Amino acid sequence: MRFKSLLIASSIALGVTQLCYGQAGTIVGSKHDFSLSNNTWNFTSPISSYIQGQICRPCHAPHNTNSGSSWTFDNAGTFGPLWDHSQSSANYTIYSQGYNFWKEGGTTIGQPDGTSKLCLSCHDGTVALANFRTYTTGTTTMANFDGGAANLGTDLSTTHPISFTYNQALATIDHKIWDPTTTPSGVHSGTIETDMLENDKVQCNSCHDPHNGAGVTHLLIKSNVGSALCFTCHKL
Amino acid sequence: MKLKKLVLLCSLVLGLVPLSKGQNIRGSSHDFTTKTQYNTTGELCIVCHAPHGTDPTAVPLWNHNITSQIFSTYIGYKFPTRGGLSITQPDGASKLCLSCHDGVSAINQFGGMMQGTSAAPQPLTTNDRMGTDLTNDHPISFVYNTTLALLDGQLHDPSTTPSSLGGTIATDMLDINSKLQCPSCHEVHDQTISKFLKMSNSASALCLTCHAK
Repeated sequence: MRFKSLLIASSIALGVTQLCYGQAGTIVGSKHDFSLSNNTWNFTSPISSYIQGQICRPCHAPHNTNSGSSWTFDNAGTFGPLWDHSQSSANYTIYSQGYNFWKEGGTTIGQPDGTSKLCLSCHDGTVALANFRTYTTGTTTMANFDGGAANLGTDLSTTHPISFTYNQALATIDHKIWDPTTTPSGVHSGTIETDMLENDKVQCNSCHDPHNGAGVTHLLIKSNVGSALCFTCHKL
Repeated sequence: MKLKKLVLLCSLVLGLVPLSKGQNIRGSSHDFTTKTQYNTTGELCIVCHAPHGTDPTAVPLWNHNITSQIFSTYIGYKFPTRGGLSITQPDGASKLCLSCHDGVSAINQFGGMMQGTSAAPQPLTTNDRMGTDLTNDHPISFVYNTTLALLDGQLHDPSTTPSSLGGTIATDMLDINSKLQCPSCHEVHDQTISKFLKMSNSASALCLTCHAK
C-alpha cells in the first residue's frame, strides 16, 4: 500500500494521472470515430442529415433503441447499452483448430453470442455500416470499406476463438492458460475474469475496447508490445 | 496418479499455481521481440501466430509462411526391414517448425509479407537449421503406435507407457494422428531446458522414454 501511495503521489507530482489504469485514449480520432470524413457512409443518404456524422449513433441511440426491424435481441440491456445497429443473421464457421480444444477435452465453441454479435454486426461484412436506426439500404460494408482491412467475414475458423467459457475449470484442463479468477488483468485493477470476460466468456471485447479507452493500436484493451496482451491469458 | 495428486496438493498448500510448464518463452531463443532484423512489430507471438486472418491450412492460428521445400527423409534400417512404415514428407506441426528451420524459407515472411528491416528474404543461418536433407535427423511425421512398437521390438508401447509428463507417450508426446513430430521432443514455447527439450535428457531420459534399450 505504501508503494502504491508513493506511486500515486509521484503521478500527481508529475502531472501524470493516467499512469495506472486510467483512460488514456478516446474514441475521438480513433478508427471508431465515425465523424471522420473517410466514413462517407455516415454522411450520406439514407442517414438523416440531422444525425449524419455522429460518432455514437451508428451503434447507440439515446431513445427508442432497437426499433429498427426484425432484430432478435431484447431491450433488457443484455447486449450492451442502448444498442441501435442492425444485427447480422449470418451463420459462422467456428474455430476448431485449437490443440487444447480437441485434444484435452476442453470447451466446444458455438456460434458467437453476447457482445461479439454486436461487433460482428459490422465486422462480418454482411450488414451495411449505415444500417442503424431504421435504415436498411446502406451499401458500404466492412467488406468494401477501407479495402476490407477490418472485415472478418463469416469464416471465423482462422480467428482466435470467441464466445467460449474461460473459467477455472478450463484453466485446469489446459495448463497453458492462467486461472482467470485469480490472475490480474493488467487492464484495470481486477482479474482476467472481472476485467476481460463477459459472463465468464471470451468475447471480442476481451481484447478490444471499441471505444479506444487504452489508446493503443487496433483498439486493443491494452498494449500488446512484447505480446503482453496475449500473455495475460496464455501461460507461455 | 498418486504423485500427481501429491504435487497438486503441495502446490495448493504452498499457494502456488501448479506449473507443469513455466512461462519461459520470454527471454528464450524464441523471444522474437528482440529479433528486430526480421521482426519490427515489437510483438513476440506474431511471428508464428495471429489473432485474425491466419493460414487455414495450419494450426493453431498460424501466421508464418509455410515451407514449400521438398525434404529428403530418413531411411532408418528398421523401418523397411521390419515391415514398418516409410517416412513421408514432414507434415503437421513439424512442417511449421521447418518453415524457419529448413534454412531456406524466409524467417521474416509472416502476416502475408516480408517483415523486418529489409524486405529481402532472411533464411535462418545459424546452427539451428536442419536444411532440407533430413536423412541425418531423427525421423518425424510417422505414426508411432502399438503396431509399430510390436514390429520394432525395441520401442515402448506408446499407448501404455508413461511419458513422465503426466500421461502416456501417446497423450503427451504424439499429435492427434498419433504421429511423432518435432514437438514430441521439443517444447517450442519453453526453453527452461536447453534446446527447448520437452523433458530433461539427463542420462538420455528423453530418448529412453520411447526407445526400449
